[in-house]
Amino acid sequence: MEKNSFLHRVDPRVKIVFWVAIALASQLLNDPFFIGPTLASLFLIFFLGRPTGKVRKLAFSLSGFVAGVYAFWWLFLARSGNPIVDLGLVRVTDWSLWLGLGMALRGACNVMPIMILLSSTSQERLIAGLEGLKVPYPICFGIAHGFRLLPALMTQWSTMAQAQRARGATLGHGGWFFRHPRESIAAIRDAPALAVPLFVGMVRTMARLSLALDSRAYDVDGKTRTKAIRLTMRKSDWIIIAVTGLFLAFVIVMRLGFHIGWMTP
Amino acid sequence: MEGTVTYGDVSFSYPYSEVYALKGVNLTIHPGETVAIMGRTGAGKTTLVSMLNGIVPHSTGGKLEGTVQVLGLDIMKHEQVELARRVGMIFDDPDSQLFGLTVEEDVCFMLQQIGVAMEEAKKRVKWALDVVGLQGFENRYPRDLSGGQKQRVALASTLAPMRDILVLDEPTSELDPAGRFELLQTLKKLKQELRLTIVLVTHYSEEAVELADEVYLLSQGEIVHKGPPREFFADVENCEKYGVEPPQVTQIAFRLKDYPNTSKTYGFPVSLPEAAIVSRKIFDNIQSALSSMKFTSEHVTNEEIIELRHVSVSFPTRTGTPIKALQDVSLTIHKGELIGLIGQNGSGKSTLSKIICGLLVPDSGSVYILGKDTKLISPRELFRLVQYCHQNPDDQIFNTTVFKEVAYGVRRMKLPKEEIETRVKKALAAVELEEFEEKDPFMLSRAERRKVATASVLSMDPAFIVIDEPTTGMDWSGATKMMEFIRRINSAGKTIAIISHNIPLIAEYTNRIVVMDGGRIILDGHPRDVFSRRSELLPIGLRAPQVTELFQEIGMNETILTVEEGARVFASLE
Repeated sequence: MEKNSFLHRVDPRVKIVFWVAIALASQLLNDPFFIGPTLASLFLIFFLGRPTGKVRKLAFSLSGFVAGVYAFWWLFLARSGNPIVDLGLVRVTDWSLWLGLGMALRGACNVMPIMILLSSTSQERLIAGLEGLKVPYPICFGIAHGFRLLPALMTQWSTMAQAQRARGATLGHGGWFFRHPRESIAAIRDAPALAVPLFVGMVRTMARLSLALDSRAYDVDGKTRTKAIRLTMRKSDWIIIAVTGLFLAFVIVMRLGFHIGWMTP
Repeated sequence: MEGTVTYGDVSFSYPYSEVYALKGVNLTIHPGETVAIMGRTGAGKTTLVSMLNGIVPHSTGGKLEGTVQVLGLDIMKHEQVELARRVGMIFDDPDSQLFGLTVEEDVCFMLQQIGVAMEEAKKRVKWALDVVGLQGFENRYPRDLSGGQKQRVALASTLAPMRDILVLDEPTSELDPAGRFELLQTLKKLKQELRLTIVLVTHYSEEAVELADEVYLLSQGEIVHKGPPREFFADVENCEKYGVEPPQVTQIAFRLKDYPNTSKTYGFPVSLPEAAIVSRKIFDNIQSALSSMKFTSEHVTNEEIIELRHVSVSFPTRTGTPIKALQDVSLTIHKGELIGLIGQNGSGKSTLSKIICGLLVPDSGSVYILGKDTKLISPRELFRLVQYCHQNPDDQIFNTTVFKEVAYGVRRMKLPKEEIETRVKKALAAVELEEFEEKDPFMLSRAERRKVATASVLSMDPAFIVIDEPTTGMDWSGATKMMEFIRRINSAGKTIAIISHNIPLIAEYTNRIVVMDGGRIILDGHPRDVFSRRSELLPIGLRAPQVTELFQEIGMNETILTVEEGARVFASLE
């Protein structure tokens, strides 16, 4: 059953537009002074949807991971500023630290709007939102079915990994980080033992799925299709659109007009 | 609703194939009729029925000769979508035909596709769920349902659009016995109440007997035998020749043909109630004949090779309440046993097997293999001792040749090259695939791929092997051959456990049965002992083989396991 928070009641089209706008805006900012408050606002909005513990954990983990990936290079590759750590090849300066932080926050800003969208929108409403934004129906259906197939794919992956481990393959045993480099090499060597059956299994599943779709008179064009949900924009939705538009416009002017909010690496 | 189907001298070949999948098929299905299509795997059954909703040839391609008319529509002159609106189809795999996040969404899927207004669609969804016995399931997630329930959701989704013809392609092959029973009862109800035209592809003769008005036997694309169920299965020789298993009670009748008096009394029943009625007439004579007959129920008492002591396993769930997959299970396995592990889906069979094979770690309790606690055995050493052959061979196969596939596991044992080659060749000989060394395993049939997967396990020469559902999806002759092959490996010294829903074959081939329910072992003993405990099997949705139930129905104390034993009992009266 879908929750009834303010965020859940926002039109899915608005949430999709919000996601795109924030993604664009975050590409134009990397100064922590500007990107930091943006990220803080995103977290605030995220909590408006009253996410469950699991969803919160996922959001933090994913944001943290992406932030780490974004930060890594700039932390060590940027050369300007006063050195804090200087080991020759490895060099961290005050400027690279600040830039790394900005990039990390930017990475998290790319993740949080998606989490806001997915944690507060049912699959049905998500598809309705995409259709409402004139995304072709086959793409909408593919996205919806992708979500549905993901748990099945994870189960298949687990079953196949078990089947190959039973034959002595080294596959993610003990996590991605193995105790000995030899195990890591063995895992890479044994990767095809999982990748090939998984790929073949997916192809077979898709083939069966397509026959099942044909048997349900699936209409690619979707022209005669009845929509289960009719979306209507409320006043609050228009306000959110307006604020989002203003924010994006502000960022563009600031960045391109006044060169503010951006630290050149 | 009306429905009529006519195949007029139909021949069909798939693209790039010179082999005809169907040859000169003439067949008419009348409105409201239920027709069963039977035959070996690859006989052309799915091709035949897939023409009704236009999947063949519109989606598959291929060359069609002759005409197929469905409700007055020539399938070549109408779009596949148009045909699919009139003909519903259900496949064997429940998971690959459900599209909705919820049951309601799934049943509503096609109604939306064809433009039915949502108010009307919701009414039809409710009606369809009522008809299939899933009232109140609208907001449930299909992934949380049992196999039988999922197939009923698929059935509801084909009924909701008010189609005229229903095609079911092996709808019960992936279900456990309880799921099969549920679906069968639902189909009987549909037949009686809605008078739909139903076309059923099945390997199970009981389904054909209970549902069909007419049965057709296909072999290599041609109809070789047909008739109402009684006449069809009475020709036991023909059925067996083309890989179809008649009901066990009918097979007994065939084996009595050399005993004219008994044969005359017994006749040719096709169902258990019918056979019980005629058998009671000769029952009085059976009891006295039985005293001189011996039926073995010997237990294997060799050395112990595996012992489980008070093993428990729980799995977390989305709701937060963990599911107890195994509850305080203790079990001892002796060398040379051929064990049948049976129970409904979710009873703990696979979990138990994976615990023994080291693929799962118990929450509590201990597992000993050849006297050693598995906690003290390295994974590398463990997989040399015990092996698990997964249900789907495609979960394992990835190499470019059969030889490489079979050698995959044994190569990880760091043995000399010559020994690896010897073991692989020996394993291929055991599965009768010696000529297939250089073939691409992906090009083999499912039964052959099954054998490759088993050979890859055999080549590692473990002390104990679990084979999960070795006969799923196979026709009768294929399933029997697979069990014969497993028996040969067992006779050569391997200790084997088979997880299976094929009760008649388990009864015939194993020398020990372990019955599981709710994570516990309910019964454990020789098949003769286990299947005598009808009152304990029925509540957990398990039934003994039909021949066993026949003799139980007529009040016999001795437990009969196979058609041969049953025929021997009746023959002794002559």
